[in-house]
Amino acid sequence: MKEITEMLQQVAARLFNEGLEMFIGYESGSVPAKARPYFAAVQGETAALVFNPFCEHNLAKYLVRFPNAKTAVVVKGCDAGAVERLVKERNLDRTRITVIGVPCGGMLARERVLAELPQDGKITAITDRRDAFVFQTSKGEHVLEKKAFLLAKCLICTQNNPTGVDLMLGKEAPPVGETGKDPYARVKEISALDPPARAAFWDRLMDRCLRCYACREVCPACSCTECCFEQAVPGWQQGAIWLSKAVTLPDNLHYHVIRAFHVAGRCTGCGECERVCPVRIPLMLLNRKLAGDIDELYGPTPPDVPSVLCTYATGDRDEFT
Amino acid sequence: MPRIGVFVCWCGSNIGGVLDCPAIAQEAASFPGVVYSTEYKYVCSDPGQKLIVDAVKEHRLERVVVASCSPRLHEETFRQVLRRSGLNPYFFEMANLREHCSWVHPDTTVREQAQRKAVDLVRRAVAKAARLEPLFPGKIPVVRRCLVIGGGIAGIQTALDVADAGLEVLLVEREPTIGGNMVKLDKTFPTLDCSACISTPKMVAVAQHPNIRLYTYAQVEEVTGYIGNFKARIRQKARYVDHSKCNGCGTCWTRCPVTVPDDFNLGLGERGAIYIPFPQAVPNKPVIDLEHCRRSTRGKCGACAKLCPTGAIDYEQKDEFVDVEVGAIIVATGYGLFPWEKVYGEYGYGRFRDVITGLMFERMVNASGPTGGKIQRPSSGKEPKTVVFIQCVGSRDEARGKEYCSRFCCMYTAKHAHQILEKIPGSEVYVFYIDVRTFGKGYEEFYRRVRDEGAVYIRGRVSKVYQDGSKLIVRGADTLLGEQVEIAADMVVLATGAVPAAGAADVARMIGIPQDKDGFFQEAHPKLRPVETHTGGVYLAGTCQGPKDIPDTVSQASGAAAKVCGLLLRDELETNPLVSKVNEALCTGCLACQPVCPYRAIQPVTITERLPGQPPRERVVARVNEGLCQGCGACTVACRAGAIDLKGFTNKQLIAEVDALCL
Repeated sequence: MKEITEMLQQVAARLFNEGLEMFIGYESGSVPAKARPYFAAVQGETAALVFNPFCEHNLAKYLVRFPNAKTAVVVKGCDAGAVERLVKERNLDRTRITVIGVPCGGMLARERVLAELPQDGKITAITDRRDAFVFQTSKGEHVLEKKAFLLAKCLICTQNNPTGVDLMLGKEAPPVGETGKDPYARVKEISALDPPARAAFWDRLMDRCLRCYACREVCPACSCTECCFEQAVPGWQQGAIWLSKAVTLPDNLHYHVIRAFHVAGRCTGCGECERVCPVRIPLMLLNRKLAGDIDELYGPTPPDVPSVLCTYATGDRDEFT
Repeated sequence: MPRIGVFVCWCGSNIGGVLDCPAIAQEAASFPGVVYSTEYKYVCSDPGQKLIVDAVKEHRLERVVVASCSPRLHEETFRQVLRRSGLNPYFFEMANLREHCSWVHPDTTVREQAQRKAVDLVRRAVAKAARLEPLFPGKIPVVRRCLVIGGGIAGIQTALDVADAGLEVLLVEREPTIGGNMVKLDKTFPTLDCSACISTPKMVAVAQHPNIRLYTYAQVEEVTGYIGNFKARIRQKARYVDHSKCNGCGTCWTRCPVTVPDDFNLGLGERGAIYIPFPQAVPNKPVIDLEHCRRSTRGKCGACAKLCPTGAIDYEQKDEFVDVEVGAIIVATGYGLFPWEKVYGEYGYGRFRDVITGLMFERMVNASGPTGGKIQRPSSGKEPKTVVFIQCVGSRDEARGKEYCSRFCCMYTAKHAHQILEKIPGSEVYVFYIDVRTFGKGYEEFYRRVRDEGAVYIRGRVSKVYQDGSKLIVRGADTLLGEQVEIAADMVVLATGAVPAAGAADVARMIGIPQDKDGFFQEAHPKLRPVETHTGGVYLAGTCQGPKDIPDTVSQASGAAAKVCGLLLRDELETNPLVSKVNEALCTGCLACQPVCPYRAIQPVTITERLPGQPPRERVVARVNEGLCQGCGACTVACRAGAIDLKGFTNKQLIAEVDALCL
């Protein structure tokens, strides 16, 4: 991973020379086996940039915070669609953005890695050996098989090399997803439950939602200026609003279902909603279910269509007449 | 909370016979905001309306709810009453107690439930009324010019009627001449007057009318804008003949060395590469068919250019574009014939030369047609003695053709039968039919006359036509006798059904009007708005809306013209205020609303946003063109941010209604 890190720093330095105003990448976290988003605003700040198998964040959404600056952003294969989505829906001016693609060998599940590494060992280097990551620590070398240590979303990944980028660093990464793994396996499992069991499954999960809206804040498809859940209706008409912010099971369920429908056909599958959820609600189950249904009903979305659910043709199927 | 008045209507016994109106009115008085509630026999009547006007004054009402019939019937009536009372006409809401309650629940065993439902419907209306906002129609200027697409008899009639009213008309026809299908016909049923004799004078009238600008050999390529203010782009296809110089002397088309099958005569005759479609063509000036012109296929000839006394031939002519502004559009694109050759194997897939269509027969029997009016077998040129007609070829055939009846085939077949019996002494005519439909004035009488003349009508379908020597053997069933029938015929004439003209789908897409399941243009209402479309300012005339005969086509064309005159003779148009509105502060500019709009009423605009503490920022948002928007509400559903609301049906109002009904 050292080469990519160095390349990133060099590219960032060069871009600042060319008039860049903001570079969004990753730096090492304050605790072991962790990375965090990093914002370099001047030339001197580029040395902190890193890339390692803990850079699981999708940085695309941060671009929206700098609408007027010339910005560069680092994207993995699963993040590239998010930039595209934001540009397509006019949230970003593509001409102001430099998208830097990095090949991804998969992201590691931190808890499992920490359990495997010696407690007091300091990670000094990480290398990607196609089917495993090799960790050099102060206590020796550790080989972590990808199959056992990758995040679940990486095991069904089909797009670990980004497309549509301005600049691609390093060599193309070999596929990381396990072949023959059905991305809809869990969706099918839940769908197969009988209605009371399925309701119980979701009720248990939705009941613990805190309505922190982290899933919405991080989502590249949730790009509204003001979310429909934030809109207040003034005066005596208060009662007549669509949506409630109350933290109750029905309202939580309402929120998540509405959000799933709002991003249906537009979800880029980055899985950030699920990652940031502090109470671990498997939100991607909802998104994946809708993605599967849309695929089944309408086939693959043509590239020039922003979302199949937002098109109209007089020849459309009309089951109501 | 505004002061609301509720008026419950008995509608005579329509509502009053089923529901207890005084009880409804009494209960409505307790709904939030209601300060006055009453009932009356006929609220729409003059004293009923006066009741509202007086109550508004006396009780200082600010919103009015009438619980009566469908808004389609009387919403406008009551809005006018509010206007007279000094209220904004959109401070009105209706509860439909007739169609939604008393008519559908007349059963005495469900009286109680029906009564409860009626009260709920009124509760819903009151909840919405409390949230109504004043709405004001906008005003848009009108371009006093009408575009007519299609120069068949429908287009001709409608253009003449509009032009006679003093309005300017642009008539666009894609063929080199106007006249359409009607000028190809010989005689017209049931009066047997000559089709050309009654239509060519109209064609000439079009060409000479001071208010009509005629574009033949031209196509409308693009339509934008909205009612009263359309912009259209017309492509004038290159004719390779300068019509400003040509005097129509005819030297060129009589001397052209090329012969090609003549499409006007459906391949029964021949024409040159420079040609006029038929002698009475309007304009009576030729075009060059470059695909067959010897100068372009072999590189030399130029006979027409050499012979032309006025130097009108211009091989280098290019397509030209004309941009026009019009206030209304009449679509009159007509029909084509069902492509039977692709479907009907039992009639030989078009292999047998003596199996012809009704329209080919028209050309054959026409005195100015390729045979000079002589009925002859295309294979041998001999006169046929036995002729079989097969009805419903492509029509009324759910499996392989179209489900609908093409309406004019029964009658033209009867006319053909008459012409054969009249022109060929000793001839035999057999007609295979499913049903004979003679719905028009004088049609049944004509059909009887043809049967009396000797035409044999056989009820049943034909299973096979095959060649046996010089004869065509037609095998079919006589379902009335329950027997097989076999006829050795000299000629078979197919009554091919009508389908929308080629390119109808492109026209629909270009203008933004829907088609029905068969591809005909959809009228706004099958009975009460037959010439309007759902797009304001676009009207239909003739067979593009559905198969119809000449009298019906002409009536519809005049109807469309009357609608256009009614629209364009006004100085300004009032726009419907029940349209979508974008809250630009909430709009994120994703434009998901744009592709779902069937009227193309949404366009992006760039606004400068000024937020406190931030520099001004340019941002794209959606904007609704109020002239184009028809208030369907599709965009409001597509908007995730909830930035679009349909005025008169806002989210707030709808949710209040749902709450009133469900909570």
